[in-house]
Amino acid sequence: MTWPVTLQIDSAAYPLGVVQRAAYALADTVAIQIGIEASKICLTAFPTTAKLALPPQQAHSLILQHLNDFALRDHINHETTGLREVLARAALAGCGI
Amino acid sequence: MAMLRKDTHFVIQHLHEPRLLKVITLDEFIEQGLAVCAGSADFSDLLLWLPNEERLRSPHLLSLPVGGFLTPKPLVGDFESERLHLHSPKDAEVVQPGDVIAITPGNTMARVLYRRGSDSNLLFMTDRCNSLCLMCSQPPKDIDDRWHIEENLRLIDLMDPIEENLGISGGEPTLYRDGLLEILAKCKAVLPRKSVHVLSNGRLFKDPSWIEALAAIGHPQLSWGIPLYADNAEDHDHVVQAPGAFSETLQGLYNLARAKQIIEIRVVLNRLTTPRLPELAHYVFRNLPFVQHVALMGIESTGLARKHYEALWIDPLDYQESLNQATFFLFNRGVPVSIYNLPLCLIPAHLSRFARQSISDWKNLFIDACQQCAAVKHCSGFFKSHTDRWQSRGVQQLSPEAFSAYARSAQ
Amino acid sequence: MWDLAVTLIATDAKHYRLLPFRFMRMNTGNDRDILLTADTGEYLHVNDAQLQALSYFKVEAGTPFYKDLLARHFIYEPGHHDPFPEMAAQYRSRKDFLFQGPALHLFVVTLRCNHTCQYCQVSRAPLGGSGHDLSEANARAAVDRLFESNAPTLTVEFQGGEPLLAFERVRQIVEWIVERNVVEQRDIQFVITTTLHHLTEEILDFAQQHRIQFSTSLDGPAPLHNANRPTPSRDSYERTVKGIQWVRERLGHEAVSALTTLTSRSLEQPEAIIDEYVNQGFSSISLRPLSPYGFATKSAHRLDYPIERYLAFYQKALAYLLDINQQGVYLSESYTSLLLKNILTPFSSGYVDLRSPAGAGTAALVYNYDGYVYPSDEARMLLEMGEDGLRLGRVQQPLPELLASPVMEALLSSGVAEALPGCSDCALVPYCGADPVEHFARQGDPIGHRALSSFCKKNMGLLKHLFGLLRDGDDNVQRVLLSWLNRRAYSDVRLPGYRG
Repeated sequence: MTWPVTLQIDSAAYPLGVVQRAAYALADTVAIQIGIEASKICLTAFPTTAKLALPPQQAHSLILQHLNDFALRDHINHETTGLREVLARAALAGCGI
Repeated sequence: MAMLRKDTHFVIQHLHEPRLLKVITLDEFIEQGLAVCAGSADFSDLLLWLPNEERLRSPHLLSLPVGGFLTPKPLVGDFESERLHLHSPKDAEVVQPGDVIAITPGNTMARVLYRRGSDSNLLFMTDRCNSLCLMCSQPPKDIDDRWHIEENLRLIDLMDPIEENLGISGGEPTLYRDGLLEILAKCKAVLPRKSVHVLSNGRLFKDPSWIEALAAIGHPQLSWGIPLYADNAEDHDHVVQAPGAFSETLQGLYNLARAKQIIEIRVVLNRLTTPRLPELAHYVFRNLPFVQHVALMGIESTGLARKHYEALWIDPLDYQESLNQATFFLFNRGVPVSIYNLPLCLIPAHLSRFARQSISDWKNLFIDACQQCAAVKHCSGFFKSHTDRWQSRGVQQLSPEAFSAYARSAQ
Repeated sequence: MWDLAVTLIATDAKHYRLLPFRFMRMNTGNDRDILLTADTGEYLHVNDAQLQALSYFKVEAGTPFYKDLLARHFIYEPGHHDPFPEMAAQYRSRKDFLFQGPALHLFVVTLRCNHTCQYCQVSRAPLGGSGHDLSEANARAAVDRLFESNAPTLTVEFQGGEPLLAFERVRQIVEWIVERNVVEQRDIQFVITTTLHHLTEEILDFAQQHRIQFSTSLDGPAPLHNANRPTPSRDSYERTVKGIQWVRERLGHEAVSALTTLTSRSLEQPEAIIDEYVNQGFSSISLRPLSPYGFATKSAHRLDYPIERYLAFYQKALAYLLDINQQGVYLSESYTSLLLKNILTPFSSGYVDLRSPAGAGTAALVYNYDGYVYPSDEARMLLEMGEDGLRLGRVQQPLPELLASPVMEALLSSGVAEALPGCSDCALVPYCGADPVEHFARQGDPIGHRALSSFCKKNMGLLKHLFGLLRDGDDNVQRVLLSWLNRRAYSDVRLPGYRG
């Protein structure tokens, strides 16, 4: 595998928000260009100046792991919609912020 | 140190109605009179402690304006009076000067409701309870026993005014809400030097109207001992045999905290509670950081516990690790913790600093193995209900060297 | 109970539902390498299979793992126990600092100083002249602002330059505050941050009278300290140590504390720095990395270092500290102790630089020599770099007005970590904070980019390291960390107990 590392993923399985968050989290390691075509999202990744020695295979695994993790977070957020706000509101009632 | 029961038979003469009486010596009567009682009392509430020799020497004492007389031994000579008289106790040690006893016509039993110097006096509120714990040492009765409230209010007046610990328990004391509040208010007014500790499952405190009522009492030394047996509802509710009890108890705990009450969490150590004891300690620390004490208690093998032996019995040697983990978890985070009701030989040396001599004098005993034990004066011993099948394989006397290892560990 | 319009999934074959939680891969190679954290700050170490089972409702009821998830508020059982009250209680406890006004009030009485520290964050005004001193009128106004905060406990800290060069102003301020406090009845602690080079008997008498504490800089052994902190007479270390001894003689051993500032040179000598603190009899050391303000930025190429170097230094220093503590020498690292409090307890440490919402303005206020009020010490240091954008207003303006300024609004809207990109998904957010001022200084905007943020890397690095120690460290390591948590002797923490 060589640079740039590319991935094609299904946007139903990995919605754009998930991809964006994954790219954000990896910003120090790889610079990711996101392209959208119909129901597919194309990622093109280059190593950042701080991580030029990163092997492309490792970058590929890292990106995939982050995509899966953020997809899971999306699922968790979906399952717990609104609860965080209700908790914060109840806990902080009366503090003036 | 033998356990001392709280009742004994007397020969009782000239008793016409149920009475609560304060036992008082002649010296006390002369020096203090009614001041020996904490609250409002009159001479008819006093029972004069009158040994045979004193009566025979000074028969005029029989005309003192007290409520009656007590001869602490078998009667010698004649008792020439129509006044109330108790004599010839079956067990002469049970009733002593300073005690408050209850007697009823037609019954030879005198109950000691208050024992001077005991430090384990308690106000018994009711036999009723809204839980049915598997190890309940005092199985509940579904009866109307509100009469305890009046008796306790009267009893408060007759106690010594001294500083000491006073318990309130049952059954479930909060079931008689107004009576309990009235008793607490009277304790504050009449017994301000006594620190009061109420044992309750806390479930009824989920009703927030208790908050104001409790805060209004403003008792300077009032604390609540509330049991929590697990870090999850299923396990706790199973132990107390009441669905929803966990939720109610937690809500009750938060309301008690809102009412600025002092709270102790109690855990009875048995086969159901010890596997997740460290997790319970974690739960208490994270969710109830206002708890001021945690009491980890050896099980009393009486009442319902006997029926549920299989589910409950675990040799304390087999939960030492859990106990260790839970105790130090709390201690290291600044939560005071005590271990009650376990003999010292069953507590590893490094936990001995948490052990307290805790079994009430009227419940505790030592077994044969204890006779030569160097630790006997510091040990809580066993419950009088103790039997062989509830005895750890680890019970043994401690040599003086072993005991000093304990003393050093307690530094 | 759940007072919201949430569409519940119709067919409920699930025996539990999820509560909000976050996860992070620790990448330590341990078999339970995923850290789960609940909004309450409770946590669990799990593996991939467990995370999947949890997320997709496959955890079997009644198992120990299931009970752990219930007890620590990762899941709940609809129709059974409602965990909401205790979750709210923990959350509130963690954010307890929100229920009071600013508690830390810094008075910058002068910029004059006799040192020319390489990393100094403020300009060094000459010793003579008072152009950079806090005026009496402004000082009086600042005292009024102080008491407009409702915090029951207040810390008043004197900063500079070198505050002792303006001691008369310090004396005035203390006396005004003490007089006013007769009525206010707050619990007030005074601290002077100083090199200790300008102490006099008179100053110490005054300090004794008002129980003033001293905080000084001690960067390490003499060669290191003097190299970092040059003075014309080249004897900063010697005079500082004399100052420490003098304060202790007059006011007691605990009346003076010290902190380090770590330059690139410092990072080469963790053990030497720690040994110096042991020799000087301190019970706590603060190993804080250089911050991007003032001269530190101008000399960045010489002084600054990638945060990774700091983290490597920290791990070595911490290992050394753990070692000497086990030998019976009590020396705690103060930032570590704060992080431990955040991780292990439901209480907030209250530290202004590590809280969310950020502490700038809400926790601390700075009354600068120029008569303006700033939301943090760092904010007024930015001033010295030509950046005056972070002023809240003039010290004559009432506090409610200062706290309603556009600057405060900007800080608050970028100061809630739970709402910031990067932080909102981060498992460490319950234990961390937001620092809009630092991000503004380093990246030019108060939110900044988390993946590039040295504030983030520092805190993540430290927190991950501590979580690793708490999970994998031996019993004696636990004992040291617990001894720091509750400020007890190592020997008092007989056994570590349950690790939770």
